[in-house]
Amino acid sequence: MLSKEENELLTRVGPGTPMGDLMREYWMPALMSEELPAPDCEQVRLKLLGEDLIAFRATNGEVGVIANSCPHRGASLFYGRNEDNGLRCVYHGWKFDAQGNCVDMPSEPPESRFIDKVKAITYRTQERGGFVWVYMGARETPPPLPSLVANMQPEGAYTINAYYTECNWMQSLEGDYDTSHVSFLHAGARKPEEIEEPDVTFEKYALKTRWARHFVRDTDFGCTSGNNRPAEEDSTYWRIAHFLFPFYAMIPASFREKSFIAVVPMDDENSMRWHVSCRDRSEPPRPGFGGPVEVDGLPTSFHRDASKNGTGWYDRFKIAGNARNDYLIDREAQRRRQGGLGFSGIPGRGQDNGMTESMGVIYKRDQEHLGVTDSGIIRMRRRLARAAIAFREDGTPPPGVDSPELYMVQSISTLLPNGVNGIEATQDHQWANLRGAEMAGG
Amino acid sequence: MLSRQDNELITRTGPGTPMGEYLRRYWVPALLTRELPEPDCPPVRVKIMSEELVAFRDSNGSVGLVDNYCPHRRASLFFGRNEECGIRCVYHGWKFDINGDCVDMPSEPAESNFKDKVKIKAYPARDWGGFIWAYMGPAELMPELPEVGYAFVPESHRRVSRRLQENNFVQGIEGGIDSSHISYLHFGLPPVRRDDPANKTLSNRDGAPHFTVKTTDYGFVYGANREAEDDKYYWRLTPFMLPFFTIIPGGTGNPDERTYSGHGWVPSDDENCWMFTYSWNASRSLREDEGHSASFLELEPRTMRSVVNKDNDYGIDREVQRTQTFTGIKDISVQDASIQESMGPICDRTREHLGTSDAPIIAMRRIFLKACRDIMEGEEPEVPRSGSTFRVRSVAEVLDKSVTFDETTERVPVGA
Repeated sequence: MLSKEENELLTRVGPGTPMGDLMREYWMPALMSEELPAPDCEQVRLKLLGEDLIAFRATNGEVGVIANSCPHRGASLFYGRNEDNGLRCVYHGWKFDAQGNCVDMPSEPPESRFIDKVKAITYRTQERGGFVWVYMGARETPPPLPSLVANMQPEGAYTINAYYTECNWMQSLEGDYDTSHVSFLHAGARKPEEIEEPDVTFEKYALKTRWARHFVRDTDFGCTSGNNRPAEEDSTYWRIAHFLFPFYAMIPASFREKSFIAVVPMDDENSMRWHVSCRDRSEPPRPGFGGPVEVDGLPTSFHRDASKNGTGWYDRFKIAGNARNDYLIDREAQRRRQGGLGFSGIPGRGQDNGMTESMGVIYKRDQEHLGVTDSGIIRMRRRLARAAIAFREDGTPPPGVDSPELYMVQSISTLLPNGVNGIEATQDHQWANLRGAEMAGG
Repeated sequence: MLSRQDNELITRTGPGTPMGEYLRRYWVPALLTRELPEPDCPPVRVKIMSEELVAFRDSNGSVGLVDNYCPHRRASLFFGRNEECGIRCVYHGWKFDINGDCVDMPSEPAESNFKDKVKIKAYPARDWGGFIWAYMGPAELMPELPEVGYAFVPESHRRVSRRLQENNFVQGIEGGIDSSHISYLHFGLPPVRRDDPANKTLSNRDGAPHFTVKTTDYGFVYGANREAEDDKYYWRLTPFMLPFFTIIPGGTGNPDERTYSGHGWVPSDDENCWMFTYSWNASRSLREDEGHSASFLELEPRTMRSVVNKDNDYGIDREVQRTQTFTGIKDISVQDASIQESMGPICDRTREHLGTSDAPIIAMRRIFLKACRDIMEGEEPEVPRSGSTFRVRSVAEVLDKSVTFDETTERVPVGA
């Protein structure tokens, strides 16, 4: 449970807020590279940490992220002409390059030097692993990109799944770090005997015993949560999940991959969710929860490409189920209680959005009742709040921001002998990627 | 006219407000019985007096009315599974019964007793007269359910409905206890008149009735008398039953065999209310098309507001308004909604000008203001606690001018 003040601290990310300032210190995966498929293509409206931005790909292929409002009289550059290495406002023809320099001001007299005095707000960008990364912070030299394994794969060896959610980023991320909901929301109607062999991630134990004991500890990148439940007579089933600053979760998925989730705040009330994994994108999507795959031209679950995006501020990667249609809940399916659809009756990622959005757009944490299964969430909130305050008060560098290698950690789903601490016992396994990289680097 | 403070007092009904506390001393209709047609059917969202709730009928057929938000991490129980005598949150499987007890918490370790410490807000709910009623007040002050006629007739003899109106509930009540507007808002243009029974023509003949109010133990009754033929008055008596119910005067013939209709305006939040409508006949089944027109409106399924609403200017047809009816708006119930909503979500009563025909409105506000002040001063406000107090009906009669108002009010109570 949090006080109103603590809740505000955690949830508000606009310019000048403690959490907003903290996040601006990190590079953020802002959009998919393919949202800007070619030089001089159509620009994209981009909301990021409460700021209205326009992303465009210049003639030389470079991505610019520029404030939506033209510095002249505020007209939107969304309507601008993306041409000849710059974005030109169609109101009076002012033109800006990707660094925000005004490179043409044809409405002023030729002798005017006003062009040299006007700059547009822009943010630094770089592309890697299918994302356009944006840095909105104050550092002269931005920190390095976090070494997220699934974002460091060659083309074809990774998949980015996306969906948009109409709620504050924190409650959406809490849903990821809370892996106990999987046994109910997503699998409450599934039985252990339905799990196909080989059950490499031991999913059947999570269906046999739906509660778990939780353990959590702080790390340099955020915190690690381990939960366990009985497996066989001589073994315990452990799931190790991570929270990484400022908005990443690594959770043991129902398949073994070096995946991560990023919940990027668009503003205080809207967020973009990226699920990135080391899978070939050409592989068919994994079976979902059942129910319709697409409704009214929108997927009910993950987007795998940007082809269905609209042009509005909140028109990217929308799924079919939303608060206005009760997430397409099918009460008959809920009653039948079969498969992944059968506990909630809600198809696709509407299951997650239905839960996290129904808490209220900005979840107020003053009336909740957290159990032991929520210990990871409690720790994550505390770490974020403390880091935001420390950065505000004495400029303490945010955790992980200068240590990209920490982001090579991975989540684990495994069987261990009874009576061992799973977080300790799996350290080598958790850091296998880092070890591999070090060995490869000599 | 009301001061700004008094207007705030009577219109705000959230938890902890004086008016909200007063209304929470009554049973209030929350939804229709037919919205929860059978055990374990899908739950229904209900927002009353700014509280977001979920109604469900459990496996035993009992109705539960619980907080919309699961106490765990506040996901909506609307998406919950209604099964085996409780509603189960689909997020982590926590389950609650109609009393608000947590009866299962499968996500916590088996040895945990956290389950015994967690409760969800739950209110008593009863099926009564085609409605599901809620009591959201202090347990020790719970009154009896109001024994209005429709609660005692077979289902075939009554018709009930609810719809959302986008205005504060007091505006709804004020429309319901203002008999003079029917001569205008609901009528055709002279000489073109609707094909109405005689009494409605009588309403139209004299557009400036005389109003008298008499306080009673259920609230008050007011009479409006209009000039009729041969030294007679056309009397319309409307009981106002606390805290927000009416029975509309109308019909002809034997009062025991008439079909009566009325409304209740339940606050959804401060800027929206539920208009509940009931029609009943004590002596026979209702015909398919019989009952108040509000019960026949086409509603938007999720919001339950009329499909003809403020977004389309209530379907106003200016040509019809010029040549045929006073408003150019089709349905009586939509006519009412258009006017009540047009005052704004909360009417600014500091800027009104009340005439003599507004006497019942003034009487209603006085009762509310007195109750609010009692609550603020720690006094227990007067609340009719006996269900039989509400055994009343409306009167619409042409009577000799020698019959006094007091004598007409003797026709309002119905024998038990």
